[in-house]
Amino acid sequence: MQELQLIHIDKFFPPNTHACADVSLTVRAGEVVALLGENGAGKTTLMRIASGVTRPDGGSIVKDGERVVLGSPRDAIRRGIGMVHQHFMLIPRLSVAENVVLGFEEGGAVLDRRAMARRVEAFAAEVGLAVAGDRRVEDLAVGEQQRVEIVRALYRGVEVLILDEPTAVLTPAETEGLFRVVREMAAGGKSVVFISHKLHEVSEVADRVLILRNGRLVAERPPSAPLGELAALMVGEPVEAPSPSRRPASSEPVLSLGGARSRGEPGLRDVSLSVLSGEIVGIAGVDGNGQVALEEALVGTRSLEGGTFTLAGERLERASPAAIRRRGLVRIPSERHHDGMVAQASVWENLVLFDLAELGFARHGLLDVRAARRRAEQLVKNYDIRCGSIDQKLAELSGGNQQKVIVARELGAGPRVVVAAQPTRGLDVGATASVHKALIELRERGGAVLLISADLDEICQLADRVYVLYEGRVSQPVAPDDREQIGRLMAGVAA
Amino acid sequence: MSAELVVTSGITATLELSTPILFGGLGGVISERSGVLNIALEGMLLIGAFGYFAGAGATGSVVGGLALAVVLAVLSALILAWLAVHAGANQVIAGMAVNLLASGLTDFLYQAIYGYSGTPPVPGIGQLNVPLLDRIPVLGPSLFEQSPLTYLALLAVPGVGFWLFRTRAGLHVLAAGERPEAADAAGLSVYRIRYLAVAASGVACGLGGAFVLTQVDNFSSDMTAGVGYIALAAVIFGNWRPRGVLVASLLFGAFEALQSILQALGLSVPYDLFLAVPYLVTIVAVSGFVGRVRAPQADGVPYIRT
Repeated sequence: MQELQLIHIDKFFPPNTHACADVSLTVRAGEVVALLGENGAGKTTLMRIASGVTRPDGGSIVKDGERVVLGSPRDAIRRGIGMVHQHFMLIPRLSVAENVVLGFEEGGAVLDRRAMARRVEAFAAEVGLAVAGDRRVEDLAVGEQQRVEIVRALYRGVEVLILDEPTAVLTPAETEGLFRVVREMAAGGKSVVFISHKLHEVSEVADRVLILRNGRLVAERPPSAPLGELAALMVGEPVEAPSPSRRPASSEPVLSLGGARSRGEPGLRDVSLSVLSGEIVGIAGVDGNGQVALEEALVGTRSLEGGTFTLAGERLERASPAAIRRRGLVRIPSERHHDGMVAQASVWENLVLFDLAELGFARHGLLDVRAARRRAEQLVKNYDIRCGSIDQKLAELSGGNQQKVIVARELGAGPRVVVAAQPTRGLDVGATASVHKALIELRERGGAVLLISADLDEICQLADRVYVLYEGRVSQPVAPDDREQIGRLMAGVAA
Repeated sequence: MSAELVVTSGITATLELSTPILFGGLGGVISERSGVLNIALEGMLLIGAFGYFAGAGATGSVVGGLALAVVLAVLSALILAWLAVHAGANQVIAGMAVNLLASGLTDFLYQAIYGYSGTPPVPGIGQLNVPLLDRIPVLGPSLFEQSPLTYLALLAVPGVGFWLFRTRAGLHVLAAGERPEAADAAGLSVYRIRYLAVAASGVACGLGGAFVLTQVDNFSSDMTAGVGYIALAAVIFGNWRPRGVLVASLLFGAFEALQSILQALGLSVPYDLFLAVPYLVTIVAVSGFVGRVRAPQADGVPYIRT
């Protein structure tokens, strides 16, 4: 019977982040414990400590009644504690089996790949997970990669499995599958720690819910606790949902695609859609159905192979990304770390990154630093960006605040159209609400929003009209409250 | 020149000129597969050449020459490894530092040791004729009458390939070069793997440098003349695979051979133009392959444990 105890764990990150403050908790055999909290609440740090990735500043870890010092992830694994990180620790170019056995290979110096693949497959089947041992990890869907991560942890003898935001990247069906696996593991006597900030998930899968806020364990609740109570404990103050006040849009489309085609896997295949001023149009669909192609085609980084692209009456099929942006189309990119920010630059630099000349921050190639900083200060205030100062590196902000910086920069100048791609993926409740609020405000001011999101709740909550993207094609527009039809279109089973 | 002689000498020259590129390239593959970008191939080859000269000159034996070539090249590799792995330095700059050090240090030592006393005779390695096969007309004298080091380089191609892709140690190298944090989490020591891989590239460059020296039997300033950079190109062109590096080395070697044959033909074109041919081919080949090849994901990225 295994049991993991964390006792008075403390962790401080200079200069001023107290990630874990005197946190004590126990995880018993066969139970699923949810660790609920906003981004930056200290959930991940706490579990990185439990899995040997991070050393605590104070406190102790007791496994099966014995005090242990975990100097590395391997130490933790030897003690039966393993973590599946939010960003998977898989090696894309290696096979599933190679990833699973890495560091724990059996046999001599020469590897028998076939036998290795079979051994891994047999083991996976034994624990109720199907994986193909000789496929390359990079060829797998995200949900399958997560299965590989779990199989690997179990292969290494993990009894206490920590899952960090495991559903952030999954489709609804994959999420269901994961929950089944979690429950089966618990039934088999293993323990699971489930890190999440999604309330309904937590209450669906956990036996106990522990709530962290600002590095402290603030409460323990049964999963049956009302969601409102959990939310309040998590953020420390009641959260209001933005009111989706739907008002009629103008009749003139500000953005439209007609029969657009592009390269990609999948690319756009004959996509026609339109967005009116003053409306939010949702693009629903499971990830990997052409969302990236659509996003890139609209901002001009992927050229169209056919069809029309009209922005405010002007044809822009051959326009450069800069020209499209000058005409008032901005983007909240799905790959925000890659396309949306310069993490090593300061908050203020990121806030004025583009359109320097248009906004009057640059003349004759020289930066007007004072004007730019004033602007940044104002955006920080308007968009409630939590940072020590605007001179802080963007990398030092929490994920939610980094996204707020992008949103502030893109929406702050009052664009005609914003392409918002997965704008709240991985964000906590507070940051999500603030992004939603910004999008709704833009609509109220007569802007147009194309919301590309794999989060169906988000689409249904915000959008005035919905298109479903499936294998590079879009459906006819659907009303956002017709979830059943949207679901069928997402699965490709409706005409 | 008879056509037969042109072909024979062409193939011979190709293999000779490919050998140091191949040694350097294989070293580069091992090092870069572990995640350490190896710009220092040039410097390590040069140090290997000097090492053979000094070692063979002092001991009067081939073994002494090879030993010192390998030891000095590995030491220079360890400088790169220390900078790249422990100090977390920018690996391009670390590599250039080793190259500059190699250039200056070999010159200095050569002057300091042999400036007054004159250079000692250096035993060559000679050639190894493969029995029977060397009797084949045209191909025999060109393919099977080569330096033992050339055969060694050719045999190392499948050897390194097998080691990288079929063994436990190779899997660990790949893991360190693709996703060091994953390797670390699996309990592997990324530092150790990278140190050893860079040291292995030192061994390869030591042998490659020794080969360069045995072609002329005397050391001269910067005598590797950019072969390490061509090897670096061969690594990219060969998509970080030993077999690909072999193809690239032979291609670059062939154009260098062509260059000398064209010169020998005595055409009334400035010979500098021919000298440029291999480098032009390198540029064209590598630029054509950019985007179609894929570097190890963590190539050139220092791994710092948090």
